[in-house]
Amino acid sequence: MAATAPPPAAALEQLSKTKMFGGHNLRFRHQSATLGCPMTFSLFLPAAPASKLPVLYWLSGLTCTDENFIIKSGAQRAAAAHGVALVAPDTSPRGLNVEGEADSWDFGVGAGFYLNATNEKWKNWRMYDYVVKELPEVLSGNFEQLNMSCASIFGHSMGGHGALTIYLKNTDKYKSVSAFAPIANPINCPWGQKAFSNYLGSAKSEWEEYDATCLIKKSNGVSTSILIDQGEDDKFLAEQLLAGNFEEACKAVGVPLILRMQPGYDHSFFFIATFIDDHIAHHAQFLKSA
Amino acid sequence: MAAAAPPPAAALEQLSNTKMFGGHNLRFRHQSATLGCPMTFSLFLPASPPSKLPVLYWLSGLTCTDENFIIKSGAQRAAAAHGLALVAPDTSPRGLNVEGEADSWDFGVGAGFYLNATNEKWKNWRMYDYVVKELPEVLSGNFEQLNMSCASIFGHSMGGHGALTIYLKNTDKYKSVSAFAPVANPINCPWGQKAFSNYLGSAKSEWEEYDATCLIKKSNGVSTSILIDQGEDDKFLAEQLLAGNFEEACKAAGVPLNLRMQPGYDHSFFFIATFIDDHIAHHAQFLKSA
Repeated sequence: MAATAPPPAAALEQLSKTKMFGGHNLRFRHQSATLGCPMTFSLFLPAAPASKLPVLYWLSGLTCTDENFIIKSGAQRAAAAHGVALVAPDTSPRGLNVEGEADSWDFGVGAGFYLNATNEKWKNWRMYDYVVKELPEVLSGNFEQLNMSCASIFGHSMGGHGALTIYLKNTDKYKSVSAFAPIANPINCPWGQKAFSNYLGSAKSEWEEYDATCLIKKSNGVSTSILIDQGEDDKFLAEQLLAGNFEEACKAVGVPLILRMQPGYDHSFFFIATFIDDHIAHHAQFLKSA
Repeated sequence: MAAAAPPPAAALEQLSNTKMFGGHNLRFRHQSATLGCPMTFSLFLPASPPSKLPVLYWLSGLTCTDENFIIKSGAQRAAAAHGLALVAPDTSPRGLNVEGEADSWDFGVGAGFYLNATNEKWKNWRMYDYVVKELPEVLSGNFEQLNMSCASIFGHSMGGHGALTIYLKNTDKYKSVSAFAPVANPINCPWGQKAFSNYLGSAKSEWEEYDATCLIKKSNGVSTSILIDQGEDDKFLAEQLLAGNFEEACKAAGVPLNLRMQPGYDHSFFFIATFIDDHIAHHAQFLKSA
């Protein structure tokens, strides 16, 4: 008896579907060829529009799955109003049982840092390729209603780092970028140093490839302003996030940055929920005019 | 050595304070004299207003704590815009270790049904008195900025049942009521029958005292329209929620009910988040004109 063919790599298993703001929160699982494990992602599709939907990718921070944003951000309100689809991947491969992968909350599982690891031990940690290449292919092959060539990207904390670095390396693929409390200069903070020293080799040049403050210096394709909201009462600001370094770098190269320091706000989803409408409106202006 | 005096019953321990939409999500713990155990509650205070803030109480459903609403509903957006304080108590006493209190998700802990139990075993289950009497006293004694005489009440599922029944028995204390997918006729559904048969005696008249569909028949103080949103794809609708029974009773009693059946929506917080702005606007019109 012939063995059954494995399901096509882009086959999706729908896990849930729930109506919200006239559209639907959908959740899927698929086998990721890039990461070598099953991955879940969430998708918010506003009500059926007249034309294809632009896509806004959200990258979450340390310890998150694809669900936190969908449950806590309230983003669907503005996404529905502007007619923009939201895509939220997970933050790392899961279930691979790499030794030590779950020892810390800031490294390994739930802490993929949106890079392609070069260290043999962490070879499955290729979230950069997953977000930039595989996920768009999966979406393109399964959702006709999405305009895959009309996309922007944003995120929080480690996901803010992911959004900024992915955008700066692919300005042809994304119309705009924004971030909430991003890890803006990882080579100079404990979270970034821990991640890079384990995932990457020791070459400084490798590290700088995943640092927004370094990348902005050689940016040549930034055509829209970058919006960043940063809480002033964020306990991670001084040691881990370093928004000021990114601000200086943007000034030095003349990249338009709107850095809004928000008095009294912390690092939480309450902060994200407060300003999410502004970010979605920011992206909508570039996604809808494209 | 004299024993230290116990802290005053109204003493609050602040557990957290997080800025959101210009106001603050606060969480407190206090020793409840009514329930005989420590209780937590959440409070959203919008930015300092020129006058005292009206109060909008939210009662949550089965399995919830005081946190679910604060994290998932997105209510703070409209509450901040309208200048209303939100108060979210927990759904039952906790930590009393009554035999069987945690055996089911729909009875006991997390399932207080907003009544005063008469069955000796459940004598601490007095969430009716906690919400109607003790919590307002605690708030009044600790938050000068609240206008305690200007209050409304709403809730979801078991909390919708709580809001409706508490309102109908205290129309002098609340300006308006609304509900999401309320357990509107508990004497006629499995959840209600299980709760009432365990918490209350067997007298039908006792049960009817906590049933909105029964109470509406003898209502004589309903001065504002009742708003109810009910998802049509709510898997609990037919067997547990019985909105239709409440609708008939309102018609018979001439009470103005705005029952909005929502196609495609389920029982979840995604449904609540979608329509929460409408409910807060509904209450604001009565709270602000008072």
